[in-house]
This record gives sequence, structure tokens and C-alpha cells, in this order.
Amino acid sequence: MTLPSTNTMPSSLITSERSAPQDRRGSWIPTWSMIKTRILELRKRRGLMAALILVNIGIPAIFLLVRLIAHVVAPKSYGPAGGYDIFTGLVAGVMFVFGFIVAATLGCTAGSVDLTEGMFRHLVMTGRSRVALYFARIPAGLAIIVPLVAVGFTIVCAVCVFAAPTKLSYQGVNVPPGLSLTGFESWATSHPNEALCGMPYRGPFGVPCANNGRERIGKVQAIPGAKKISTATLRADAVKVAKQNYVAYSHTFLSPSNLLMVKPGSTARVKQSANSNQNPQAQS
Amino acid sequence: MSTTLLEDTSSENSSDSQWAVETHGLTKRFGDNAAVNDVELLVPRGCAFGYLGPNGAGKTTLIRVLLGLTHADAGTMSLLGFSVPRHRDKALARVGAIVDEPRFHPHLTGRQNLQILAAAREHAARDRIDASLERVGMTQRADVRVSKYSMGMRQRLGVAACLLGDPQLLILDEPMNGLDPAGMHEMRDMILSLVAEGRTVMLSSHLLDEVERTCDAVAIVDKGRVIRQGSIAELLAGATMEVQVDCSSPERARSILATSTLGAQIDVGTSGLSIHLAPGTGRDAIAELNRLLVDGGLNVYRLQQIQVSLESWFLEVTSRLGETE
Repeated sequence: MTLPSTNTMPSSLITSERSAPQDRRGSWIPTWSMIKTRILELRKRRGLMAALILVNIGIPAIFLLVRLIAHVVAPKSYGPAGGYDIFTGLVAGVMFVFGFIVAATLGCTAGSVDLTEGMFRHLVMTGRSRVALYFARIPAGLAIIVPLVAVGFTIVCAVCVFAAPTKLSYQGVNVPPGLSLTGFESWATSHPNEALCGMPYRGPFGVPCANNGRERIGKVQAIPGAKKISTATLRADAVKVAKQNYVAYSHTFLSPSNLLMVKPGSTARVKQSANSNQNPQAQS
Repeated sequence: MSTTLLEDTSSENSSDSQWAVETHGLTKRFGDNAAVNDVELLVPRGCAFGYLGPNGAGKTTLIRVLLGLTHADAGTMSLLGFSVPRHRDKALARVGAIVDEPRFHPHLTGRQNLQILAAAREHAARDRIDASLERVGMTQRADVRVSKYSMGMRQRLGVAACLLGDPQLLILDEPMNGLDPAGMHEMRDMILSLVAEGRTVMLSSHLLDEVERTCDAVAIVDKGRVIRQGSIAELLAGATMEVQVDCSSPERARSILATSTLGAQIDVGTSGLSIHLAPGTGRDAIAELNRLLVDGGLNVYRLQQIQVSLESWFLEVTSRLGETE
């Protein structure tokens, strides 16, 4: 490899005006170009980017994929891939812990590589403020980590919503999600055991429940020697229970994508209020 | 330790100064060791200036101080007429430098590294990337990762990085390090061409032969202190003159010259006499030498003035210093 034969400077390299450029390089505010090139520098670290993608996107995606496949293959053995519990576990557990780790890793890399690789002095020798050189790393790091977290979170949200179980547990009773009041009453009348013996109810109704100790939820059972329970009574009581529970049910399950994921704390509040409304008869 | 507060004594705030680099009483200490000791340095514009010294003399430390990579403990300095550190940003805007060996992000290509450096400079620097790469002959390898570069290619890339700012002053620390003879030749040509364009190149080195071929002026530094500075011709004029004489009887010649008023130091070797005349002695002394030998009845076969090299002068100066201590 040899140098070009010409000894003259390419014309584009010679400026007619050689006074100091007015670019405010003493300012502590980094320029957009500095941030862009810092993103480039971080983005080109293949090992780091692979680790970030694996932890932020790969682990939740693989976990959900395995659950999806398992559910498709053996739906009776493996429950749905999504749902509130999975969402909580992934967001508050995996993504939170690993997200912190990858953010720290990226931050350490962004903050130290210039020094360790000897580039920082080249940058300082340009006359640019050291503070600006450091500050350029912050938006660059965020520009990488935020989209990664967003993608991971989106995958988790999508799977948890669209692969959520068709029946959700409400007070220990499996109930279809997203029912209107009429639908909820209709479901209660067609599932009197679950509605009358599993759900809380404040107030009297004339249907007794019995539990043999082996079942989680008791069964409607006429008292020996008493009159047989009529279908109309059963339905009327089921509708009463459904009406009283619908507010709590709708708060919890009617809009799971909003309430569960944006304000998961509201679930606990709803559960608390539901518990306080429990019918002593239902517990007997 | 007498430490003077750094103060901005240079009132000028423009690039019209006569000197590319100007320092007064510049001092940098590491504990009790003064790496830069009361340095008075004047580097004229538009020339190649060599900053010479043995290892550990404080060459790199001075450069680091000039470039704002470390703070001075005392003294004042200015680059291109802008006092540093007060107007560091303006001064360094038109300075390109390599300190120690040029190091870059190894996972990026040469071009991407230059993009990072150009982003820290003015907008026009981004338009100079291609021209800089072309200038150092790196266009073909610009899109190869730096981890695959040889030492010489990194040096070239370092020079290309210097050129991004269209510098009026280039400060190169040991630019010939790691280069093969062809690379050194190319680097020398490049430095000369940069000087021909009106730029100032200040280079530190201990490769005296290269400096003598490249530079117009030098400063000799030892133990942090500048002990000589000026143009090479001026400095060498102050060195002793050596004349080699081949004659019929060297021993007799020595006795003749010992009694003369020339004040010569005479060594007798296998190839004849080696005569060292005092610094500042003119060429007439050689004729006088010849006359004395011929009048003494000796046959003189050869009289040759040995051109003093910067290297021999440097060794002479530094060894002289060593003797005085």
C-alpha cells in the first residue's frame, strides 16, 4: 500500500477560511451528531447487542413460545401461555431484574469504552467539552435500551392478552372473561354450583350448599327431608349472586388488557373489596 | 516546590500569532519528579519542528499538557495564538494530534472511527473524511475493521484523524513508531507536504536521523527541560568540527598540531588522524591545518571535513550534560 503520488492536499480538505470554527464546542450540550455516532459505536458491539436482545426479548419470547407450544400440544396438561399471572411474573420478575442488569451493562460499556480503548483522548483533543462527550452517552444508551425493552414488553403484552385463558379465576371459580351483566347472569344460571357455592354473596338466599371436603367448591344440595329445590329458585338465586358480584368481576376481568397491565394494583384492590363482601353462607 | 499559579498572560485572542506553540515557564510535576520543568518553547509557524529527547525526557507529557489532556502546574502556554486552557476549544479546533500510539475502537471500521471524531468537530469535518482517508492512502481499507489494521495503518488512520479538523498545527508524538522503512519514507513525505501547504508540524521523536531529514528546527529536551532550540543549521553550527587527516606520519602530525594555536583535540586511529576543532571554527582552520602539516615536512594524502549529524550532536550535547551532573 502506498500513499497517493500527489503531495498536494485534496481541494476538499483545504478550507479557505482557517479561523477557528464557530461551533460552540466548549458547550456542555452534546450535538445530535455526537449522539448518533455514539449510538453507532454501541450498536456495532455485536456481543453486547446480542446479550441485550437475548435478555430483553429472547428470554420472555422463548418462555412464552414454549408455553404456547406446550398448550397447543397438551392443552389439558399445560394452561394458556398468557394471562395475568404470567404477565406479572415476566414484567415484575424477569424483565425487571434482567432489564436492570442489561441497562447497567450498557451504561458501563457506554461510559467506559472510550477510556479503555483510548478514543477519549482523541475526542478531548478536538476541543470538545468533556462534559458534552460524557453526556452524549446518556441519550445514546437510552436510544438503544428503550426500544429493546419496548419490544420485549410488547411481546409479553401481546401474548398475555391474546393467549390469555378463556376462563379466568374469580374468587377461585373459573369464569369466562369479558361477560356483560346479562352474560354473567346467564353463565351463573347455567353454573349454579359455581355461582351459589363458590362466589361471595351478602344477604340471604334459600339454597344450601354442601361440601364433601374433597371438592374445592361445594354443590347445591337440598336438605334431607325438605322440599326439593326448584329450578326457578336456583336461577333466581344465581342471578342475585351474579348481580352482586358483577361489579367486582367487571373491574377485574372485563378489560384485562387495560386493568391488568396498566394498573395491576387495582386487581388487589378489587379482590380486597370482593373479600370484604363475601357471603358467610357461601363459605359454609 | 515553587508553583506559580497558571494565569492567562497572553492577551491575544486570535490566530495571528507568530508562534504555533508558545510556552513560558511551563511545569508539570508528578510528585517530586518534574516531567516538564520550566519549559520555554517557541515553535514558529509553517515549519516542521522536532521535539527531541531520550526516553523519559518528558516529550509526551509536554504534548499532553499542550493538548489539555492533563493540567500544567505552572506557566503559560498558547496554541496558534489562543491561550490554553482558557481558549482551549478555539485553539484545539485547528489542531490535530497523535499522542502515544493512535488507538481507535477496534470493532469499528476506519471510516466509522473517523465519523465519531468528526462528529466532535465542526460540521465541515464530516465532509473531510474521504479526503483525509485518500490523503493517507487508506481509502481501500477504510471499511475494514480497525482490529484488522497493522500498526502502520493505525498510524495512517491517526494522521487522517488529525486532518479532519483542517489543522494549522499538527502535533505528532513518535509518528514513525511501528513503521517499516517504506512507511517511514511515506510518513516523511506526508509531513513535508503538510508543511508545504503552510501547516505547522511539531513532532516528537528519538529517531534523530528522521528528524534531521524532516524538520527545519528542533528543541532538545532532557529531564523535562529544554536545553537547546533553534534551526538545525544553527544548532549544528555550534557543534565541534571534525577533520580526518591521512598523512605520512600520524604520530608526528599529532605532536606538530599539539604545539599549534588551533586548540584541536587529536585522536590517532588506524585510518589516520581524527581532529576535533572548537565549535564555530571556520573552514580556514582546515587550510591552516594543512599548512602546518606540510611545513612540518609531512605528506598529506587526504583532508576531509566530517559533516556533523544531528545524532552525533545530540549525543554530544546530552553526554556533555551527563558529565556536568
